Amino acid sequence: MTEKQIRSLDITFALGSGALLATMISLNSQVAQHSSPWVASWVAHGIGGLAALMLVRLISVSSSRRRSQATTPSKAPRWAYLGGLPGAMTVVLAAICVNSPLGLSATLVLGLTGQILTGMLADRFGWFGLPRRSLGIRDIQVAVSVLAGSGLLILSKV
Amino acid sequence: MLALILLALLNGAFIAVSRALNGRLSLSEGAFKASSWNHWVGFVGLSLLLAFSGFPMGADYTGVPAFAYLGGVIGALYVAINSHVLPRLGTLTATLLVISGQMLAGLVIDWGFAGEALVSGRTITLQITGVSLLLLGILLGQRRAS
Repeated sequence: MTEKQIRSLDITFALGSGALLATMISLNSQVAQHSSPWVASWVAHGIGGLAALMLVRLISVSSSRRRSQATTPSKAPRWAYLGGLPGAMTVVLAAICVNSPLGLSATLVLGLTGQILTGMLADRFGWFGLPRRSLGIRDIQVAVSVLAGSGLLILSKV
Repeated sequence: MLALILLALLNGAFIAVSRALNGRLSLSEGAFKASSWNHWVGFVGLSLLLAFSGFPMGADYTGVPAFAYLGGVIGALYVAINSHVLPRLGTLTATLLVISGQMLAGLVIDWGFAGEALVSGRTITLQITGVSLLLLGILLGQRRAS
């Protein structure tokens, strides 16, 4: 596959994962209605953990004969294993903000802004052991477009 | 109010950090192991949180439609796929694409499954414009060389 094809595939996967995320949130919120956001998240993390382990098993069984890629970097540092902590914390933070004078819409828009700003900084300075990437005007354009579009959709619900 | 605004921004930052850490982990361990670690570390964290704040005994697990529990399975896939592509796209591009996919899918879910109707001209205008801007962003993002 050409580099362009790989990138198109990556883009499609990223968009698809966003769709999965929306679906997950929708389903988890139904569980939350009968319990609470943290219980729903706790249940989802448990079930998801089991599902992920099963997928690990399936993958290792099916690719046991394949050699690992030469491009794999050295073993991940300890902090790389902790992604689940900030992830779980967002349930708490989101609930606090939504139930405060800030409200749902502002929480959502600020959350998106926080994500995008962090993404920019992480790329620019090469945080988290990931490659450093220079930011161009195109990146700013895309960010503004996505943030504005998302903002309007959020506004349409108000 | 300022504190709440900062908290909401921090919430977003945590989401991005979580993705980036999982992305880094997937480079060494693979996407599904990264998803597994993310879920179990989060599970332990939430278990402690619930243990300290008192597990809500009023939770009604049987009242939940069974398919709703699939949320966890879908989440496992989401983290795996996202972790896999993030190191190659970069955190910003991956984040923008996830947001776009999320917003578009959310719209479809609201229309189709929650039975929301486009009740007003204002709603229709905002949503068409919003979707157009998202699609523009996706299109612009593709032209960029990696």
